[in-house]
Amino acid sequence: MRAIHILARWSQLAVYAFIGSILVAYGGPRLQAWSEAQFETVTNGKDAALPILAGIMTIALVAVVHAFAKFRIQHIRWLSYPPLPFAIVAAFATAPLWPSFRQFGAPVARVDLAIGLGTAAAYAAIWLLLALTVAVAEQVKMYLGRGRGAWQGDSPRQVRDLSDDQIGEWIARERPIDGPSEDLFGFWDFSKRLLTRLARRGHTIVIQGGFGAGKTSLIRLLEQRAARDRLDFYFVQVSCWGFEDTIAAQKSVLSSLVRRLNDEVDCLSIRGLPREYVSIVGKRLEWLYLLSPIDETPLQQLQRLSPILNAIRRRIVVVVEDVDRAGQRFDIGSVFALLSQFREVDSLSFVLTISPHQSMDFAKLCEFSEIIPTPASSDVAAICQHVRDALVRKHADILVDKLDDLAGADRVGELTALIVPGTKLWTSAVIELLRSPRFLKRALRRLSEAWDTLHGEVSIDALLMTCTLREAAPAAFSFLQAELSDILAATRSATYGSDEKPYLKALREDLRARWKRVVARKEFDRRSVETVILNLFVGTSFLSNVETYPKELKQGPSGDRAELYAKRLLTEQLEVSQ
Amino acid sequence: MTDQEMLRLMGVRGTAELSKLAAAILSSESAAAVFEYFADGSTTPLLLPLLSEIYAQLRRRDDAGADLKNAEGSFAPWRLAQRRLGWETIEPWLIGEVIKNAPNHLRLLNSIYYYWTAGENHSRSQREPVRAAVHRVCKERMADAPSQVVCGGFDPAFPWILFHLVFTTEYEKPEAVPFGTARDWDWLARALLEASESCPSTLLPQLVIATNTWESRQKTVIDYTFNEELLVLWFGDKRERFLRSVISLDAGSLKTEDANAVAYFQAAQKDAAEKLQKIRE
Repeated sequence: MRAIHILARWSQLAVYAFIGSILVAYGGPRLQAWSEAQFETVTNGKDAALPILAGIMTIALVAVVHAFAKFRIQHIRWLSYPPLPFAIVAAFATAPLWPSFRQFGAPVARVDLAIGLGTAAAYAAIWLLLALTVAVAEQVKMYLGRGRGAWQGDSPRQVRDLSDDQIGEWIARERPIDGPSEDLFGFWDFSKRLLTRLARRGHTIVIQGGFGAGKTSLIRLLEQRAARDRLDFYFVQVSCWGFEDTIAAQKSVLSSLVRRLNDEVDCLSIRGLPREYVSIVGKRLEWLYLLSPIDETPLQQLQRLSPILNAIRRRIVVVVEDVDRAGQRFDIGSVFALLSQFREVDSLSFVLTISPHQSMDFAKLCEFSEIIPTPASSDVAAICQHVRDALVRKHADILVDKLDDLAGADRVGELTALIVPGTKLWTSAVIELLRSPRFLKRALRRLSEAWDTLHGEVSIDALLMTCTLREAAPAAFSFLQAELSDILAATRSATYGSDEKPYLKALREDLRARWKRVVARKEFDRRSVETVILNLFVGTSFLSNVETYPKELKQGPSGDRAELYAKRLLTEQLEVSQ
Repeated sequence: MTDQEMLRLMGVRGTAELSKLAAAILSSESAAAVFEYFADGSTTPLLLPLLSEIYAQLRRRDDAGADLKNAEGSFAPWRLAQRRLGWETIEPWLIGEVIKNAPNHLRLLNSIYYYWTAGENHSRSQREPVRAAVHRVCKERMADAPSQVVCGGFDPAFPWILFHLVFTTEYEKPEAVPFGTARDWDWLARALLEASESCPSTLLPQLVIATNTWESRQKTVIDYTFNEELLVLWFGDKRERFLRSVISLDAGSLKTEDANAVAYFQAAQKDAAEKLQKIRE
């Protein structure tokens, strides 16, 4: 089958070269005479300027055409799927072979051998030069964009081996990781498992992971592992975030696919694939197609990829991300239909990354369903402890609250739960909420920035709790912000002998009802969030039924100066108290 | 003041730092609140030296007008000391602090005595050594003191100092006040009368307020009647001289911060005139 595709491509180029050589052979002298006349007019007959101007114009023209055609230096390596410029060079080189027909009368003007071969050589040189320039520019751009410094190496790190600077750098960076040396949570090992699945032809995978779980990082590692293991994959990453129109999303998926493939092999012949596919799917045929009606099905359109992929013995893995974060009018089913057709195309498979809350039958769409690994709680705890300790050292404040052991939170939590089943400590709750790389980074970044302002003026553990809620459970944080005065009032002990008790009871019941409405949205892990709130605002046990061991933090939002510290913690500003 | 600034001041034991801490508490109620909030067991030994420093700074700042009422921040360490220290620790310190104020800061003396010993939380036996010390020291330092010294100990803006010194704020329960009878302090009245020639507008209002009858004092309206018995006890044959001095003083020259004091003084002038008239008749 592959031999047929290779032969087909060579035949195609041979036809192009044949037609091209005729045009060059007989049209070339006329075009040359016409252009010389034009150049003489422009240069006023100055002989020296003529070749310079002609050279510049020729190079510019070739550059424009090549930019449009997106020829790359990488295309040259594929003798199994040669690029179109091969045909052009052949056309120039073979043009002098055509006869002048002098036996039938006056000879027809045609390109002579020297000019034909010279032009072929000149074109080949310009082509290589332009392609090389583009390749060098891309490499420089990639080099400049790549993370450097403390993360050199090609194997994953252990959290315990990281320095303060490395952790600081890690939490400061929002973008996905660049390589295995930045992998702290086992994604590199997980990528091996995914590649094994993808290695079987036609296999497709859905990877489930919440917002910020590291899906994009995982895909990058997958790509790097495939390259390192010299597997025959090309990865195409497509994001559907923000698309309102499903047709536009489909077109984006296909355009990304063609663009990526064109980085490796000449795809001029399928350049129109995205537009043509969506025209058929959307039944929005353009006027051009009235002249040459398309009678292919969408699947047949997609199968135009197969000859190229078969010829170069490569497979494309399309990674579709953020399908569940498209606009409200977005029909997720249409993208799934496109992916479903991918399965019918030889050498084309896909990985779909999606939120675990998306309700759909993945088994119909994909062979495998995987859940992205969550960071180990011991790793999250170690990072939190590391960052907190570094912040405490940085400012050398007098801390009046005892710092709870975060790194050993798991062990203490298990022991506590053993003694009093169902009990959860705030340390375990915070770590549970931060078991998502993005939440972890954001919460710790916020902690670092807020501590620079509030250092020594609030409890750092209370600040860690509010930062965690703000990033990992924003709805709960908003509740605390909106209801702060009522929460503080409700946590005050009723004055003995006063008629405050019924009022407090009513207030607490009302707050509980309001909290239930927030919880009903199911936007966060309820038990962990309630544990944190109970430890932060000691005395709010009326909100929930979780079992924990809250203790009043001296510089936290409870006690005599509760309001002051609550405002500092929630606004992350010191001025509110002054 | 930030938490850290306060915690740093609380964490050191040097005199300079103690002085800074006292100044901070004296100048800012919010600083005093932060101090009170963070005070723990380690702060307890600091409390009495800190209060001594606060009182010393208050004396320097307000001179004879020094009064704890004008130093709200000082109540933060005072509350802590009340809660955490036993009376056996407080008593010797308190005696030492109170007597520091005689004879130059009698208003502060009364104020310290009032906040530390008055009220139902303290017994007569607790007050006794403090009052005894006050009585003894005042007698030693004021009975034969030059007029200038006696005048300087009273705040002209606050004419209740003598009354509070002699009878205390618990004058309605004389049995609870050791050294609280007019007889205990007759030597002081005579010294004041002599000194009043140098500073009549300062000392005469003090004597007038102290010599009002109990009945007049209890009225809700301004009323004044000289306590005859007291006048005889304190001034003897010099009482006419005292009454004439009261009449001759221009009430407008009084520098009191309380408008009622002027009204009392004017009522006393009226009563003094009537009394002199009767004596002449």
